[in-house]
Amino acid sequence: MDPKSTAAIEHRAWNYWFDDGLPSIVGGVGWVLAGLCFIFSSLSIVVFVALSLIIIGNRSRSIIAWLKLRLTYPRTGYVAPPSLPQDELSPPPDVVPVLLQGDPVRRAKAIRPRTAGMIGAVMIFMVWMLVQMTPYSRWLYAIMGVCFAVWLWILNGRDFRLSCTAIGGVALIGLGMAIFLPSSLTPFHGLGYLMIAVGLLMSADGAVALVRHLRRNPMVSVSTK
Amino acid sequence: MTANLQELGTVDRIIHEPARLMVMATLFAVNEADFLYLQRECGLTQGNLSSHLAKLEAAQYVLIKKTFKRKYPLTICSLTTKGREAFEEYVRKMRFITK
Repeated sequence: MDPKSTAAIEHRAWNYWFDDGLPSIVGGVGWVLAGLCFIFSSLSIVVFVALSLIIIGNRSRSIIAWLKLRLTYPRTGYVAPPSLPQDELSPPPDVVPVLLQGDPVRRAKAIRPRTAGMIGAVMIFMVWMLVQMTPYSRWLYAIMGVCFAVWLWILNGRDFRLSCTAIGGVALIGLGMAIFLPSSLTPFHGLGYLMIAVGLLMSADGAVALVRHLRRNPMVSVSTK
Repeated sequence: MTANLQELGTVDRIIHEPARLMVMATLFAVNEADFLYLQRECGLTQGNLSSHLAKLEAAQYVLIKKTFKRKYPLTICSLTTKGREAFEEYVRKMRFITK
């Protein structure tokens, strides 16, 4: 069976998981929690927030499905969530053209967990540089904002879906922090605020999508024989 | 008529109906979908879709499971192995026309 024959149907079913904005909202909450870990100095609060983050990270699909059962499925129906290839074998030979061509479904499938992890490792290295540099350069926040935006663009459509405005906004957040952040702020706190701001932006983008989705699709009653 | 063209005469008539073809194509692309999703994607009325699903189920091409999740009724449809093979065979025969 030629895969291209039903590609359009598969694309629609894939995008359906993200149409209501719930994955972005849940992802944004996760980033806010991650940022809070860097803000609070009380160990008990940090442990509580970290545990919440771990739970959300491991159970994000279940949480999203639980929300969809109440909000989305009664309105537009249920289809199996997108399944991503989890194998860590060598990436497809055309992974770079796939990344550049802009098709979010093909791009999402081309990104293996290890590739996403490598990109995340670059981000962590930037964080390490931020912490090690004394006095640190505030422009590192701008660079991190751009890296963050690129990482979100690459992963867009895989575990969440953000608008171009939101992704561009992430870069602007980093730039804004580099310009307006008070000098007295420690690098850890600055990183925390960056993650919180990105998380709030993601959640807001998801909330806009959700409101739009709910307005377009009123509740229906289905009677099946 | 050539032998290849005559093969079109043996096309599966269960699938060779526009509404059922849409349902089969949708279920082929996804692992499973519920009644409401199929209805919206295929643009069919409830009664129409129910009728076609009943025919596909009778032919053992589609498996229909009726469940409840938190008081929300779900009629989940998926292709059986026989249904997948039948759809692939149907596509193979129809592709002949486009060659």
